[in-house]
Amino acid sequence: MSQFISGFWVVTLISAGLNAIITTGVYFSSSAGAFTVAHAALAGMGGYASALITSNLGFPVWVGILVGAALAFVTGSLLGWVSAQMHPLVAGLATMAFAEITVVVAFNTEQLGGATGLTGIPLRTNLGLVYLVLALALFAAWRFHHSRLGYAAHAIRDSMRAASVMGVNVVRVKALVFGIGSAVAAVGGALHAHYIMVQTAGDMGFWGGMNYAFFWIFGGSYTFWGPALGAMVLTILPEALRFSMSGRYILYGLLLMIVVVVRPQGLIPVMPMGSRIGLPSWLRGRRLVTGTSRAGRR
Amino acid sequence: MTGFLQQLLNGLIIGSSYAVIGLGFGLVFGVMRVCNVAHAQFFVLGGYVGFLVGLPFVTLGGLPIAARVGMFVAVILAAVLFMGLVGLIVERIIVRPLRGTPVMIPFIATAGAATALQYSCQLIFGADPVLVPRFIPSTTFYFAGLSVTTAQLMTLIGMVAMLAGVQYYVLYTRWGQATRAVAEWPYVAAACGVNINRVFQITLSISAAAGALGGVLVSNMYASASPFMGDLFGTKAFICVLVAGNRKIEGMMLVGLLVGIAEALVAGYVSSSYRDAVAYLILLAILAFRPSGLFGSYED
Repeated sequence: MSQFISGFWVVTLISAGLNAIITTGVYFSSSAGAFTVAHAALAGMGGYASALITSNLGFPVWVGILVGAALAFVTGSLLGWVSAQMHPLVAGLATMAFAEITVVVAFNTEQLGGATGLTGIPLRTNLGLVYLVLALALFAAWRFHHSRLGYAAHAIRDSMRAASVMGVNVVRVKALVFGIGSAVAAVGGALHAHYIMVQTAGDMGFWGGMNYAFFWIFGGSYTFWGPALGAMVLTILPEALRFSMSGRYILYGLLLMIVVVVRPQGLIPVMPMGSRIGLPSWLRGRRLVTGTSRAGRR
Repeated sequence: MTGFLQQLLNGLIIGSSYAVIGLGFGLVFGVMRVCNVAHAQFFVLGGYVGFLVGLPFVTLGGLPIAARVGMFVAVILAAVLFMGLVGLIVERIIVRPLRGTPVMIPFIATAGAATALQYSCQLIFGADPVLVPRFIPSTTFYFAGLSVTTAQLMTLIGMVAMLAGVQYYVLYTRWGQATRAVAEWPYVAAACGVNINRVFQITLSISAAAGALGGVLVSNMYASASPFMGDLFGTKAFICVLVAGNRKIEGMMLVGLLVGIAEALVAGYVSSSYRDAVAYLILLAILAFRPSGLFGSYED
């Protein structure tokens, strides 16, 4: 496929696809109402795991990716479980603390290459593989969106108290969806490590995670494909803004600010983020009832 | 023993810089329930305004100390007025349209503003740190084997003065009373005739001015300013506010000092590479046991 498009666009499309995979992970994790900035760290965890397993132990790349995903699933579930009962803002900041601690640990562990990171990771990622994985992730997100677990997660997001009254096990669902999202992000992170062939802790902290939160909110967090679209748009846009090299992040920040102020529900106007904006109340009410009653039948 | 006391003092000074940045952030967080990520950039901009205003005077040597103190006061006034104005603008274009939305929406919008401000600073002043002129010449005082510089003392004094000023405003003035009412229950306050918009404007303006004052003090302490200095200090100050919770400003300042001391002790006695993890570990530990922070409550 890459013989039809120029090298610049291959690079841009691969990084857009990788960001879209990780942001789909954010979609899963945030579907029960958690705000997360830990997904850069979880993706980096997948990258480190896959790098160690393929280059040090000589396993094939899919083993590395799966081990990375499993590791991130366990870590993410624990994080989701710890933060399940917290105020949403506080839970988001707990994920920030987790991300920053991961960075400090990675910087200071010699087995992970310390500040220089791991180098010499085999190149295994290409355009086709990235978009195949993205398609799989989106398929999983679509099926999740219409599954029992998905309805339970959405019910928790709309009202944690109502969901638990209807018999949803809030802590278990939140931990599980956070773990699933972490695993998806780790797959993206592992592919990223096998693409740039280096894994460092530099981008795993708060601002790295905020990037994925930007993508997630920009595309609209109420659809399963919105976050991935937001990631694609916001990755390609700064490249398209290259006409002003130093000004592009200023434009990027301003654009983000304007979009959030003008459309707090994201670019895709399916459902409002909050209860005070967007759709008329009769439609909101119906959705809330549907979500909780389906979840209640578990 | 002297070594331990010196570490304690260093920690107190680092902590006071967290506290001066955290003050404005905590004020907005407590009153408006808005996590203003751009606050760290207000702090950076304050440092740069100090740099710009101070720049023409650097070459004037041999001035009497009174004139130098006067110039420093002028720098502080310029930074405070300018950033107070920026605070008004930010309130009008970002915070007011997003009132009533879930917490992460203003969070992301102010983060976008922070990105734009940060890269504007980089575009104008360059990515490298600039040398900020010191008006008050730095002398080191020795007391019982401990050493402290003038600039460090000024940060400590500035922190106490800012805390006293904000406390006076909040507790003893008419608008401060309105601010407390809005922080408690915005709709009831509005029903009783408080102009919420005006309170929010004043609060964000005071917060931005406090951030600018922090920027002047901290850039004076390190004699440098860079577009990225907000990242480290801002994140730490942010954590101090969350550990303390949204109710008590003085609690937030106390936590800032304690985090600074804990960092200095870890850097001095364990390993300086783990210094930056200390604040996060404190945050996770506190949040696990008291999810609304030490002095906070989020019920609404």
